[in-house]
Parts: sequence; structure tokens; C-alpha cells
Amino acid sequence: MKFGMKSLLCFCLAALMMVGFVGCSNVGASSKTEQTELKVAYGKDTGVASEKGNGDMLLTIFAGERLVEVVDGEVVPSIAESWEVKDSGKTISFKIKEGLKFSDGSDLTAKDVKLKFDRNIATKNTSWTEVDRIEKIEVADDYTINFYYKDGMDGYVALAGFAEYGNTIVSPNSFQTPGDPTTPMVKFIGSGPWKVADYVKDQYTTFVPNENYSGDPVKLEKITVSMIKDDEARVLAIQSGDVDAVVDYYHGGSAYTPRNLLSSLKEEGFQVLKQEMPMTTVLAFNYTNNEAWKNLKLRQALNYAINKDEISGLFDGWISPANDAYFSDCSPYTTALGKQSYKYNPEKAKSLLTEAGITGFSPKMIVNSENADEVKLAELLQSMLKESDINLQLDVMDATKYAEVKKTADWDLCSYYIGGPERRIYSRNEGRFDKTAPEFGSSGCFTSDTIAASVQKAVDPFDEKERKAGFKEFYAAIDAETACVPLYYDAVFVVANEGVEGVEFIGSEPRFDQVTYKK
Amino acid sequence: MGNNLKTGLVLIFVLAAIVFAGPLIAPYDPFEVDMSVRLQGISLAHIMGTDQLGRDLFSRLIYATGTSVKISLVVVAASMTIGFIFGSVAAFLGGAVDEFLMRIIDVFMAFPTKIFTIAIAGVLGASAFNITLALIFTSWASYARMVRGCVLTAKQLPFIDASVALGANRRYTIVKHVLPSVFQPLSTFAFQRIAHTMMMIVGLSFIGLGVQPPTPELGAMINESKNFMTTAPHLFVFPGLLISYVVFSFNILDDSLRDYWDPRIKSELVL
Repeated sequence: MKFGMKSLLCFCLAALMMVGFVGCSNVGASSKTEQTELKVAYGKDTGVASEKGNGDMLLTIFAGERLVEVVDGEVVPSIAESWEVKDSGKTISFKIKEGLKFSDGSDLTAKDVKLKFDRNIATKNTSWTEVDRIEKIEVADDYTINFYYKDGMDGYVALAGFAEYGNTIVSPNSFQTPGDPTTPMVKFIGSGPWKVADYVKDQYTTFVPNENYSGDPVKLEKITVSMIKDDEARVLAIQSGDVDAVVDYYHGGSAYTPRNLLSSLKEEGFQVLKQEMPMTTVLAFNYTNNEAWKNLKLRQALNYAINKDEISGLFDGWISPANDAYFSDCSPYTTALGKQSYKYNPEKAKSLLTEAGITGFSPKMIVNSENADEVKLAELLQSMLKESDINLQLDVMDATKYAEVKKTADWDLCSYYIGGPERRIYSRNEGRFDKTAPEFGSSGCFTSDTIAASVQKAVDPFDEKERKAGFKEFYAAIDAETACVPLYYDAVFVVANEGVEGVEFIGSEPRFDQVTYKK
Repeated sequence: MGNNLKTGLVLIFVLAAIVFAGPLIAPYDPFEVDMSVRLQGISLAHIMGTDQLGRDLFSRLIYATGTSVKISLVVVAASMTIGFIFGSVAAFLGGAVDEFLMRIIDVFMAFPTKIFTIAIAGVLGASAFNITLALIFTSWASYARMVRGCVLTAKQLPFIDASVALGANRRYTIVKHVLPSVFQPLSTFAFQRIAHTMMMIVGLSFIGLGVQPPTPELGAMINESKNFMTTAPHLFVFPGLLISYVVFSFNILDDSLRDYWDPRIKSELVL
């Protein structure tokens, strides 16, 4: 009898547990539920508060707007509804949309626009913002602002510069002393689709809908962007379910999801969204310090000696080899220009070296050890160049030392990039290839009189036909002079859970404004 | 000779064969890139598979083991020599010299070795030569202290007094009686340190401060395998196993040598 009671009790307990497990079963579970929040992992701090800076690119896209944007190589309206180019380009007058408001409810007027440019000038935030070209800024009325340019500093590149991230318009209340642009930015109050609800430096930023936004309202109620610096850690975060999406650095080229993990992430059921950008990773020559690189045949030999398809293979084919031209088809006007490139031909490389009278060539390539992809790329290049009798020496060093060494003459080759996010394509081409551009000193890649003249023809004319012809000349010039070795076309990736829908790329920048998420 | 010692010697012999006859054993050039066979698993052509650049993993492991073990041996030999000189000079001369040298040793031993090594390797830059320097710089002090202790102990032993009483000069006493009594604990300590130094080298290379690519090294190879844990596990399994093998070999040899040289421990173990 006693045994019987025990058995009965055990049976009852087992039955209860079975009933409990029924609730845990997936069988017959209801369909996915709509989520109101999206958690995103990002490799950089958003820089909501900053003494001199303007915030990270993600922040300026999420929560800010600029006077204009650059889409498909063309300047298009944003805060400004129209603009007029006067005095042959020496003056640009913007008409600002009426009724715009910042996320704190204050009106956005010409005075606020001027304040942001005053800040960039005061804090010497001139790289790519093109504010060093400006001679004077004049607020004509509440909704009209005029920019006057210094002699020879005008052009379409100056107009496109208003789309630069650093020229995102923020409220006077963003500054420590409201209205004083020389004081640190303590909060980011913009006019974009989102507003910052919470921010902890180097940890996270919470975005909520900006109810004062003039465009289509966003669909989610909250996006939390967590700063996870380590590339692999971001991948682990999405795999473990801590975040719903991982976004590459908006600028491209760094803090990205390791390309070698994209295939396995896709196999695991994650979405992998790719957007190619007008940025090309190249092998740059230290031609200013080392006379050898002034020899065109040597530069051409390097181009023929590198198999770009194998480089793409190194990244499981997720990035495209730079086989067609110096820039991919997403760069302005490349598709219409025809394709030019050096095809892999080690024999041709050898004969060019012989013609140049170079034997036993052992260039030194400096490599940043903190970028694992760059290290592997360098090892692959070393192996490829060996086939053309070029004995590439690798000097792998940490980022700090790399930055120091790069300023010296003690290197021959380094991995670099030309182009950039689409909104920067004009200023970047000028800064990389025209020695007269202010950015060239710290960011130049290669220049010559021919290339510099052709860059100006590409980035200066306000007339589209002239610009297009200029781009054609510029692309031809860097190709003919072998300004560098284009290796692969960069791309921005978003890895997201299956239920995340509506991620839209404008230019190379992913937008989450119309994203919905079912989980 | 005990079984442990025999096992240790066999393991070390195999290791020595890998290290010194590596180029003869390796089926491929460890630097030879072949992108058409990248990330392949185990096969007859590549018995341990291939890496991200299509290089034969078995060939790279053979070279990598050689790299790590050779650096370990150089570090241990150099540290032991420096430590021996400093320790014996301090012990023999005594007085102010001993005090001065011991305070220097104290300074070196006051720093946490691993952090100190990382700091030095970080400042000097990542390379095999620099980590060798950094490891010697942070290791010699422990040898010096041990040698000093052994010499001071030996100096007090009755047979040393007897040797002096019989008219042996200072040099004869040191060479014939004192130094041999230091040799045994010093070599046991050195064998123990080889495994430890090996782990340090692997660790430094793992965090990018050691041997630089494309030179194969066990720690660096494990670091490179991070992105392929699920797709190509052979990339970290084989280097991991080899590290375990090397450390185990030196540890078992160290233990068995200690037992072999010190019969008292042996008899206690038997009892």
C-alpha cells in the first residue's frame, strides 16, 4: 500500500511536469510578435557629447539632418528646400524649409544653421566639411542663409560639402552654454527622425522617435545602439541574442563584421545585407619619400603583379575585387565611363621591372596588426608579389606605431583607401589626389599636375555635363599614372535577425527609420 | 631510470626531432599560399588541413613548434646564465655587493612578470627578437635568487669546510664543490621554466605582441583561428594540442629529473 502511494505520487508529479512542458513546446506556438525595440551593436561610440567634435556618423544620420544630401553623385535638398549659386559660384544662397523643428521643439532657422558652421570654423573642424573655403556667412532672413567663398575656393565640391556629417545642423541648446558654439557639445539635439533619449559614453545610446521630425515617422519605439568595440564580440552578441542587428561603421573600412564570419552567420539564419560604397581599398606608394616609386613602370608592375580575385577569395567573396576600375560602379558616373584596369599578369610585371632596370626589388609594407584582415591581406600580397620576383617585406606593428611610422620615410607600401561614403566623394577625391586641397597634407594618396588638374575638373563644375567629363578625365588620369593599386571595393554590411525588415540603404548608409521587427 | 623519466625523454626526443628536423619532415613550404585549397579539412594531401591562405597546417605547425621552442630555449639559457652570474657573484662576495645586487633583484621581482613582459614587448614593438629580450629581462632575477640561495647553502656544508681545511684553494673549492651542488637544482628549475616560458611566448603571440606574420607561431595561429571556430575547427585544435604536448613533455621531464636527482623524494614517494 505504501509503495502504491509513492507510485501514485510519482505519477502525479510526472503528469504535472508533462503539463508544464506543454507550455514550453514550440509546437502550435503562436506566430512571431511585433517588437517595439531594436538592439543594435556598433563598433564606435556615438559621441553624443563632445568637446570639439560633431558626433559619430551613425548619430548624425539617426538624429540629424544637413542642408543638403548627396545621392547618386548629385546634391539634393534636405533642410534647404532650394539653393542658388551666384557670382559664378562665389556665393551660395540656401532657402531653408519653413516649419522645421529640432527634437527639443525649438524652431530651426537660418540663425541655427550659421551657428553650426561658426562652431566648425571656431573648432577648426575643417577636414571634409569644407568650411575653410568660406569667407563669410550671412543670415539674410529667418529662412535664407548666404555663404561667400574665398577666391578660388568655390565649386560643386563646396556645395556637396554641406552634406558632410560634420555639417549636421544641431540646436543651439546642444551646447554647454546654449547658443555659444565654442563651448562643448553636451547633448545632440538635431532634426533627424530619431532623438537621443539616453547616452552613456562608450556603452550605449538610446534613440526614440523624434515627434517633431518633418518626414515620415519612424516605425519602432526605440533603438538601443550598444558600443561593442571588438569585432568578434559584436558577432557573439548577435549569436547569443543580446542584440538584434550588427552594423558596420557608417564610414566603412573599419569596425566592421569580420568578412569571414558573414557566410557562417548567413548559414545560421541571420540576414546579411550588403551595400557597396564608392570606397576602394588600395595599395599606396610612399612616392614622396622614395624615389623608386616615381618610376611609372614600377608602379605599373605592382598593378600587374596582384591578383584581385584571390583577394576577394580571402574574404569569402563578400567584397568585390577591384577588377574593373579604380572605383566601383556605385561611384559617380563610373558606369557610364567604360572600364579600365590592369589585369593580373605576373609575366608582364616581370618584364616591366626589367624594362625599368629594377632587380631584387624588396619593398617594405607597413601593416597595422590591429586589423586582422589587413594582416592576412599583406601575407597574401607577399605571396603574390613573389611570383613577379618582388620580395615584399612585412613590418607588422600596432596602431600607434603604425601611425608614427607612416609619417616617416621608412616604408614603401601601405594599405589605404580612396573614396569614401557617397556624401564625401567630391571632397575625398580632391583630398586624396590634389596637392592643393587642404586635406591632402594629412590624407593624400598620390598626385601629379595632370591628376590634380583633372580632379578639379571633376569636383568643381556646377554643370553636370562638365562634371561628368571631368570625372572621366580624372579616372583616366589616375589609371594612366597608376596612382595606386586598387585591391577591392569596400562595402557596408548589416547583419540582422530574421524578423528585422525594412533596413534601407541611402548611399552606403543603412537607415532604420522604416524598420519593423517581428520576433 | 624510472618510467616517467623514460617517457619524458621519449617525448622530448620526438619534440627535438620536430624542432630540428622540421624542414625535412614538413611536406610543404609553410609559407606557400594556395588560395584554391583554403580552409580545407583533413585529407591525404593535407593531413591537418589548410589555413585561411591555403597553407598546409601540418607544415606550419612543425615550423611553429620550432619557433616557440627555440625562443623558449634561448630565453631560458640566457636567463639562466645571467642569473647564475649575478647570483653566484652576490653569494661569493657577500657584504655590500650582495646587498646591492639583491636589491636590484628585488626590484625586478617586485613587478608582476607577465604584465612587465607585456609592457616591455609593447614598448619595444612586436617581434620574436623583442619578446626574447623582454622575457630574458623579466626572467633572470628568479634564477639569480635561486643560485644565490644554493651557493650560500653550499658554502655552509661541512665538506666545504673540510675541503678548505685540507688546503684546497678558493677557486678549486668553488669549481669542484660549490658549483656542482648548484647545477642540479638549477637545471631542474630551468626545465620547469621552459614550459612556463613557452606558455608566455604563446600568450604574447596570441595577443599580437610576439612573432609576426607570416612566420608561423602556435599562439599566433590560434589567434588567427578565432573567426573559424565553427567552420574550420582544425585551425585551433591542432595548435592547441601541440602546445599541450610541448608543455606536458617538459613538465614530465622536469618532475622525473627532480625525482631522479633527489633519491630522498623518490624514496618518500615509494613509502
